[in-house]
Amino acid sequence: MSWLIAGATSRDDLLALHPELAADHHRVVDEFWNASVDARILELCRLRMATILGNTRAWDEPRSPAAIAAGLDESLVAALADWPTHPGFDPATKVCLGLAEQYVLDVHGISDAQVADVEQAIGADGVITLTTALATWEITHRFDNALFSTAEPRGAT
Amino acid sequence: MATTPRLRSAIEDEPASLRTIMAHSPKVRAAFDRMYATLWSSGAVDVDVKELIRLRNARVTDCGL
Repeated sequence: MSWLIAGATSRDDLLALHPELAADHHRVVDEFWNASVDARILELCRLRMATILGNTRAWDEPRSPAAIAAGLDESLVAALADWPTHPGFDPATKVCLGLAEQYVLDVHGISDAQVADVEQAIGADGVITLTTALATWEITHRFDNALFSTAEPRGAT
Repeated sequence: MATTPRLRSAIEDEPASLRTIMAHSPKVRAAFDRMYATLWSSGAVDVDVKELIRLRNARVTDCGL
């Protein structure tokens, strides 16, 4: 539930309070999925950030259709916490997940070498797409955490 | 804080900057800029309050730009 609108159950319900901003937000996210970065990588990074930031709603909502179309492997989604050592994650996915984690935990700890590794894996355009996506998803996860409550609605029995 | 771009400029003969490295992904940049502009130009919160929030957020996150 959200304390902002009675009966709101989704992020879109709240974004509807500001339709112009909602449309812009959806447009940005659509660009991520349509960009050159493998949508499976983007979805894994989005979900990993959600875990670190404690946004369970992101795990409950449907997976990205673009990632599913690209062949997102649910066994890897389930193994996401073990990505550094799990053999199923390829090198490109690993460097991107490493950047996503560092972005959330300590953005000042991102190194020149780390960005160079990501650029080598997904190109300069991919770095811009990925980092903009990380920024947007951090906002989204914090938005959910801030505006949705885990408490029962007032008067609920 | 890091203020030196870690990517090369996407625009020939222009130095690397936030603007020129973002140009590597122009559609993403355009969409993000549009959302950012909407944040500033509409809504119920006064723009001076938004600027104070932006500056406070930059201080908290140690943003050097």
